Amino acid sequence: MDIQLSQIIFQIINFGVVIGVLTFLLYKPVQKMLRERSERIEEAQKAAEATIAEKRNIDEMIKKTIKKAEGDAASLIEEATQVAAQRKKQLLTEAKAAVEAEVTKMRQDWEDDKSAMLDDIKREFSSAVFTTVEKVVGSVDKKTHQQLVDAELKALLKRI
Amino acid sequence: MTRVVITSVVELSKAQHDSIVAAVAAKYGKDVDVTTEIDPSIIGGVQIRIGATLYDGSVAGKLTQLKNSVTA
Repeated sequence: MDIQLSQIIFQIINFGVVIGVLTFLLYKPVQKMLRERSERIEEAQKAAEATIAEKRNIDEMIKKTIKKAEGDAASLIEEATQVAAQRKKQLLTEAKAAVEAEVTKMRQDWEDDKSAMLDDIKREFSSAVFTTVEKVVGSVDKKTHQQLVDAELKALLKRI
Repeated sequence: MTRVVITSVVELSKAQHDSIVAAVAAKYGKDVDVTTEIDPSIIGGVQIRIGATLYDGSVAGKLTQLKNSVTA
């Protein structure tokens, strides 16, 4: 087999041309495509990490908000409970005072009514006694009147 | 002079009248001016007024006392 220098040189040149063409037409575009893809992946990863971080922040914020809301709700419930207890106590006190005042007034009214009725009875009794005695004594005869005067004189003359 | 007014429903007997005069004279002296009155409003008994002092032995007076004690 003869090895010709010209053939070798031609082959070398041919190979170089092929290498050059391949480099220009294939290697660079592929490398560019790979670089761009890598950049896109990196950007997407960064975006995903940012999204995850944002989600974590939001979750944390939600937890804090819920915890604060629970605390506020507990405070409100406690405050409402205290206000309700105070109001209940106040209402009970007012109701008790009103009932006592009403009972006192009723007792006083009852005492007044009783006193007035008693006075009426006494007056009627006195009037009845007066009228009865007046009729009885007024109908007695002179002798009985004299005896009555005698009886009274015994006491009166001792006082004079 | 001691003024005495005797009030009764019926006229007093002489003995009753004299006993009153004697009692008044014994305390106030013998110079006594006695007046007798008939007043049915005293109902019964006798009232003796000596000056400003009233000795009330009338039925009306006793009833008034009873009424006052009951209504007091």
